[in-house]
Parts: sequence; C-alpha cells; structure tokens
Amino acid sequence: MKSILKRALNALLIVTLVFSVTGCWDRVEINDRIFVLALGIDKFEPGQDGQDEEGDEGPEGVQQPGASPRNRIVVSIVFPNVGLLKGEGAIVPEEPKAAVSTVGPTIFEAMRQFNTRLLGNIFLGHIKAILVGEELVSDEKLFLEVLDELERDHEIARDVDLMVVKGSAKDALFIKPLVEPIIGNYIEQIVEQRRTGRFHSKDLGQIATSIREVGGAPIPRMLVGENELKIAGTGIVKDYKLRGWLGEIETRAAQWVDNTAGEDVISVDISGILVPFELTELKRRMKVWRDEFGDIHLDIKLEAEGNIEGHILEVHRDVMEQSFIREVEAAVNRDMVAQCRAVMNKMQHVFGVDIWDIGDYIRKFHPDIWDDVKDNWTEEFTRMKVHIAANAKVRRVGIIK
Amino acid sequence: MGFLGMLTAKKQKKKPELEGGKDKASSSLDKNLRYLKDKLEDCDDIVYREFRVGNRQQFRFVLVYVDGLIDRDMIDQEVLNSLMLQARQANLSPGILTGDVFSLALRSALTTGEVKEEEYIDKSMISLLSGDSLVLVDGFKKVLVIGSKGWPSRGVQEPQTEVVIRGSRDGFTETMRVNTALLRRRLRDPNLKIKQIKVGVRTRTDIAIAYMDNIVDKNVLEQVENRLESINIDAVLESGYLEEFIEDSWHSPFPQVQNTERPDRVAAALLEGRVAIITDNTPFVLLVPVTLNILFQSAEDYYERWFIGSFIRILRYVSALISLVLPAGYIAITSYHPGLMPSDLALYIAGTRIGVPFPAFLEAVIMELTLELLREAGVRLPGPIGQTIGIVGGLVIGQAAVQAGLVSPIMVIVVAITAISSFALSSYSIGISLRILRFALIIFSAVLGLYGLMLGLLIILVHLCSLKSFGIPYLSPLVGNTYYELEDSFIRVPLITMHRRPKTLAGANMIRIRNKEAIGPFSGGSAGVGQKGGKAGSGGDGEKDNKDGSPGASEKGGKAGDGEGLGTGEGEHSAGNRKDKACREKAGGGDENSGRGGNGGKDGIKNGGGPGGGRDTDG
Repeated sequence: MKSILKRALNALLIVTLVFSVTGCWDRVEINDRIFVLALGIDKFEPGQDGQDEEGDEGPEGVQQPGASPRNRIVVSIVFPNVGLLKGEGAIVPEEPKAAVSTVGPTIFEAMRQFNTRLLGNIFLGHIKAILVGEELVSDEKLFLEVLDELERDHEIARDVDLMVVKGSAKDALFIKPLVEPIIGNYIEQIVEQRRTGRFHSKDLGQIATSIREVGGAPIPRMLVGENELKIAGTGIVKDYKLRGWLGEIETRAAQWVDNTAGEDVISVDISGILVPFELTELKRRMKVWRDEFGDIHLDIKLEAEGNIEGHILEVHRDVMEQSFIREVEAAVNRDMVAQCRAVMNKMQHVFGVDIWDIGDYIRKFHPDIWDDVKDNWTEEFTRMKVHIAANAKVRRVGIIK
Repeated sequence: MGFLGMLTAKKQKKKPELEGGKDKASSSLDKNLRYLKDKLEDCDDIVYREFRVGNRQQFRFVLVYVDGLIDRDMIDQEVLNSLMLQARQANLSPGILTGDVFSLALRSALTTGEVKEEEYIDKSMISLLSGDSLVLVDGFKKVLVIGSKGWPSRGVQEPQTEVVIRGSRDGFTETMRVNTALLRRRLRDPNLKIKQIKVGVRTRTDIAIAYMDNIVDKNVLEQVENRLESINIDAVLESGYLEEFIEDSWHSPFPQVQNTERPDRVAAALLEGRVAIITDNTPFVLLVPVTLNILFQSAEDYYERWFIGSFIRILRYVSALISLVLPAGYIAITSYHPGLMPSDLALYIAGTRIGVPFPAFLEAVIMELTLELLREAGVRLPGPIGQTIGIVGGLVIGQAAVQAGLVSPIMVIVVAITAISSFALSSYSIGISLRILRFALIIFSAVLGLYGLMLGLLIILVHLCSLKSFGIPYLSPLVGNTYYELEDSFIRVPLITMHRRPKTLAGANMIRIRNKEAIGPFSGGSAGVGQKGGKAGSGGDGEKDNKDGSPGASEKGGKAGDGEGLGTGEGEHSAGNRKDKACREKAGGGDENSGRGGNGGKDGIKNGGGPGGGRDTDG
C-alpha cells in the first residue's frame, strides 16, 4: 500500500512539474494569432514611406526612414479581421482586413517589428500568396536572401503562390479589391480557378527548385490596378535576378511548350474574319536527338483539340464544310507554331533561360547526351535547334442553324 | 498439487462459517427451540408455530419460518394442513404410527416438493434465514427443512440498461432462481452447469457460476472458482462487489468483467465458452473473461442482418474514438497546430473565439464537467424532472453560454458530439472508462499539443496490450494469432460463415455450425437437419441437435483436444444424415415436401444420438 501511495505521489509530482516548471509552451490560443494571408516584400528605397526603427519621434511624427544599412526591405502583411466572422456582439473594427508594412533588414526581423504595433502572434502557416517587388527581384543578393528565408521557415508551406509584382508588392497588398476584400484569398482564388494560360501557376517550391537547379525560372507576374489585381504574364529570373518579362500571349505559348496550359482561346484570321478557336485539350510531345554534326535537336509536337466558337452565319462558307474546317485547323497550327517559335527564340537568344527544364528531360531520358552538355547547358540550350509542329483538330463547330 | 490441496483445505475450513455445520441438533425439541430463540433473539420477524400431530396428539411439532420470506399458502396447505388434519384422518395401522414419526412425516405426510433433513441446527438456521421453513420434531436429532421460498419480487421486465429494437424483452431480476431459470429456458442442454456457492460472511449471498461444461475453458473456470472462493468479505450486496474482487488489475480504468441484464447475451456468452456469475439480489450478471472487442458488441448485432450489424459496429468503434480524442484533438489543433486546419476553418474558429475569456483547455474542461453534471443529475432524478434538467442544461450549455460569450460555439459542438458518441457505445462501463480517459487526454494535449495526445494514446495502448482478463489478452482477437476471430470484431460476418467458436475463449468443442453443405435453398438432401443447423448460431437450438448425442463423445475426447472431438462429432452427424436419408427413402419419393424432410431429419438425429457404441463405429 505504501509503495502505491509513493508511486501516486511521484506521478502527481511529475504532472505538477509539467504544468509549473516548463517555461515556453508552443501553445497560443487560436484567437491570439494573426493569420497572415499574404506577404509582400519590396526592396527599400529611401523616400518610401514606412517607419524607421531608430528615431525619437512618436508615431504621430512619422519620419521618413533614411538610408540606414538596416533599412533594406519593406515587408507588408495582410491579415483578415476574423472578428467580423463572429457577427453581432463583438467589438471589432469594421474593415474586413488589415494591411501593415514596415522597413527592416530581414523578413523575420521585420515580423518582430510588427509585434511592436500589432496584437497577437504572427502566424505564417496560412499564407496564400507571397508577392515580391520588381526592384527586389532585380537585386540578386537581396532576392537570394529573401528566397532562402522563405524556403527555410517551417511555417510557410512550399506550395504558396509566389509572384513578382510589376511595381511594388506593398501597393498590391494595400489596395481595396472590389470582389474579394481579403487579398490572400483573392489571389488564391484567381490562381485556383485558372481557365487561361495567361499566367503560370508556379509555387514557391517549384520556383526555388528550378532557380537552384536550372539557374532560372518563370515567376508569375502581378499587375496592380486601382482596386483590382491582375495576374498575367511572366517574369524571367536568371541567376536570382529578374531579366525581363514575357507578355500574356507569350506566357500562353510558353505553357503550351511546357504542357501546363489550361483551356484557352486562339483567334485565327480566316479570309478577313476572326474565328475564335477554343482550345479544350492540348498534348505536347517532346523528342531530343543529336545529328551527325553533334548538334542537338529538339522536336516539339503539339496535339490540340478544340471547338469553333464563332463564325458569321452563312455569309461566308458553311462551318460544316470540310475544307473550311481544314482551313481553320491549318490556321490554328500556323498560329500556335508561330507563337511557340517566338517565345522559344526569346528564351534562347534574349534571356538564355531554360524555363521548361528541358535539361532535366535530357538528363532523365538521354543521359548520354546529358553527359556531354551538362557542363555548359545554358550555352547548349541557346544553340539547340528547335523544330515545332502543331496538329489541331476541330471537334465541335457550335449550333449552326 | 500442493497448491490445489491448500486451496481445498481452505475451502473446507471456511465452510462452517458460511453454511453452518458446527452445532448438531439435539433430540430435545425444547433444547433446539431454545437454541434458535437464543440465536434469533429480538428477531421479531421469526414465527414459531407449535402444534401436535397424531390421532392422540402425542407428537410435538414446531414450525419455524421468517415472516414475509415464505409462501404462506404453501405452508398452510402443504405443511400444516397435511400434518394436522389429513395425517390424523388417515387410517394408519398402529405399527406404522409407533415407528419413526420423523421419516413418516418426511416421506408420507408433507405434500411439498422440496424437503430435506438436516442434522445441524446452525445450518438449518441459515436455511431458515434464506426463506426455508423448519419443522422440529420432539425426540429426533434432525430438522426438516422445507423449501418454501416465496417473497415479493419484481417480475421479469425489460432490461433498462440494454434496450434493443429487436430481441427478447425479458431481463434478469433480483431473484437468482428466476435468473437461472431464464438461462435454462434458453439452453436446454445437460451441459449447462449451474454451480452454487455462498459469499459474504453476513449476507451469505447466493452466487451461481454458470457455464457450458463441454465448451468452457477449464482454466478460466478454475480461476473463477478460486477467485470467488477466496473472497472473504462480510457483505456482497451487488455483483459490483464481486467484480472488484475478481478482476485482474484493479488499477486499470478498463472494465475486465462484463455485466449484463440480458439472458440472451449470457446464453450467447456461455456458448462461446465464457463463464457467467449470477449474484442474488441484483439483475446484473457478470461474464468473464471479457475482451475490449466484446464490450463493443451488442446483442442486436446478431439479430439484425449481418451488414447492418457490421455497419453499426464500425460506427461504434468510430464513436469510441471520437468520444476519446475529440476534445483533446480540438485543443491540440487549435492552440498548437492551426496550420493543420483548412484556412477558412482556422479563421472561423479564431473569429468565434474572440472575446472568449478562457483558453481552449479550460473551456473544454468546463464544458465537459458541465456535461457530466447534467448527466449525473439526469440519471438520479425521476423521469419528468430529468427531462427538465435536459432542457435547462441544453439551453444553458447550448445557447446562453455562447451568447454570453463565455464559450465558443465550436466548443459546444465538440462537446455535444463527444457526448453523443460516448452514449452511442453499447456498454455503459466502457463508456465511463473512455470518459475518464478523455479528461486525461485533454490534459496531455493541453500541455504538449498533438505530441502529447499521441503520447497519451500510446500509453493507453500499451496499457491495453498488457491487460488480461482471466488470462485472456484484453485486446484479442486483435493480438494473438487466431485470425478467424476477426470475423466477429470490427465487422460481423454472416452467421452461416461463423463455423467455429472463438478459440481464445472456448476450451473445447470448437465447431458450432457443422453441416455446411446442408445450408441454403438447394440442399434438398437433409432439409430438416439443414434448417436446424442454420439456426444454430442464433441460439442454442441447433446446438442441441448435435449435442444430444455428444456427451459421450465429449467425455471421451474432451481432454484430447477439439480435433478428436470434432472427428467424433462429424462421424456422429454423418450417421445422422445417413439415417435421415434412409428414413426419407423409406418414406418414399425423392421430392417430398420439407415437412417430411424435417421429420426425417429429426429421426436421423435421434438415431445418431443413440448409444455410444454405435457412434464409435461410425466415427
């Protein structure tokens, strides 16, 4: 009996110790957290507004932060006002979201600076989108640091959408969108519903991996409007530095080559009339081979299917005519090949970035070729001979009478 | 052997204390009477009736009984009337009369069924106190004990704790004799043994150990007997007293003894080789050994069709899991790992918790305690007031607390789902265990998050793995190597495929459905046997068909293991079938109706169950 009592006392002691002695728990009540939904990072330029961390003036006299060595980036976050979800009775601000920004040397130091102004524990586990400013991506040293911080943090998921903002990321986060008030959700929903090939869907993990492995990557581009955001086009990063942009049409063609394009519409000119051709399915086949002179050839074949969406009724020719359909198909083929060739040219000769991971394909499927080219793949990529062909098929022509 | 010897010695030493046997009856009526009156001083419910018997009133008799415990009509009619009136009117030859009036009364005068003679006066006193009547005769050193038990008792009613939609509606009562009768009504098998002992120095409560002699695991039976006999307590008022004394580890939160109010459940358990302990004065019969799996079963699982039974059983396991981990999981995820939730849910929960003054842990503990309070209040109160409690409690924990901002609505949902889940369990005792453990897990996860929750679950699992009930692993059939027993665990397979009894429980006679080929619509050959066999799983009926002939076989092959027992049984049965066929041929015609087939089957069995010699040659 004595030993049982002793054991019980010991157990009690251990349990009390667990409660009383342990100093740092990870426990944070869910309502004490700030759920950051979107994170924006810009390069700091003197003259931008924001608060300097060193300065003896109070908040009302916000001073222009100077060019201190600590002032390197501007970090902005957006978080929803969860209190609004509770409905009546809660004393909460009326705004559905809050956006704040600060200047600091690194992302995580900036997060601590937020703690001097915000209530709660900043939680990055539910970030939907990370926006980086154009200027930041143009600074290779800063971008490398930022990318590493983002990848290293255990709270940030690797499948967060990463985008480069034409302009500043802070501006993108501070707008009041018309459709969905909370920026993070807004961006996530646009990306999720993707019914066009006009922007890449690349997440943080994919971008970081291909920058590291291939040396370059396409990053989706975001354009900021008065009260809306637009995701279209691509920023091309090579060696941690933004080298230039691809337009929307170019992005679409790039994705055809990549086999990641969604549905889209191509309008082709058939004797003066623009006929919209809805692309419903697209398959890309790729083949790499070497000729007797040692040149590497890349064959790309696009197999497309789609519908004719519009045509002037009976004025010209009947859409049921086979020759007309063949003509449309030929025009679509022509257009697609031309667009793909243009973007391929740009990649090979302007940027010199293998955004399609063709090098990876060669490594996996043609290891003998890869052994010869792996040491200067970027060069080989620009010299590669590319043959593009398309084969479109019309499946439906719409209701005709 | 020495140990066993010690045990038996102990048994004999204890007996006089419980059942008397020290003081012999004297030949003097007055002495005996003085002994009784002395011992039973101030017991005003004892009635002494002196009367004289014989045509010359020469024999002094005294009738003693406890008022209220006996059947008055029976005593008046069969004892007093017989001895005083009819015996006097009888025209007896003087030779008989002058002889032994004691045995004359016993053999010829008392017209009642249960009479025995007793040498020990203290022993007969105990019988008196348990409802028998005593007849003392002057000049004889013996006492007549007349079985006259008859007291006001509750009738057989529907059990309150284990209600079923489909299934028998009779439940055990407080009178042990009625309970054993309910069992015997279900198992008309000579192998159903009901052994009676007394436990409790002061209560001398009757305890009956019931088991199927040729199915039960003898080791378990021996353990049950030993443990029951080693109990030395003054009173056993309910079977819960016994339960605590005979369970394997008293410090475990899990029940290691099953209790039930349903005779059909006990019958099914006996047929699986388990042992029932029936205690007087309580409708709760104990069943041992028990496994966790058994506690998740309900009698109705076997009465509804198999896939419905299986579905409900899976549901029960899920609800056990919910009732164990839901509040703890909620705390762990919301206050440690909000990244595990979908964003919208996380934001919603965060929103609803704004302004709630307590951390999720305290909130959960408060709500769970409120729920326990409500449950406890509802149980103790009479029906109509209980409903009021339900409504008030529902409003208090449901609406008011949320509106006042003291509790978040999600927590109310969590607690409500937990409560419903814990009430969905078929066994009340396992529900209570899980409820206690739920609080432990809440603390674990409040301190260490999901890591703590997993830690707690692992501790519970390790404990469960080490737990045994009368030598049977508590987690069987999930542990061990008798895979076929899984047919009756998370799911229940159709009865026609449950051919064998669970090996971990039953000791012998493993086969419960023998004639596979005779089951189904196209088994014309032995339709009668087939139909009977088909019923075998649902009760004892079909069992009996096989059992009728098997005592001999099992006595022979009982120790040799089920292999041999099975072989003999099979032979025996095929003999039955063969005879059955012969009968049908005699009856003429290959396609007679099923009624005739049935008759044939019965005949066949009767023949098959004939003398042992014939069977041997068949086997």
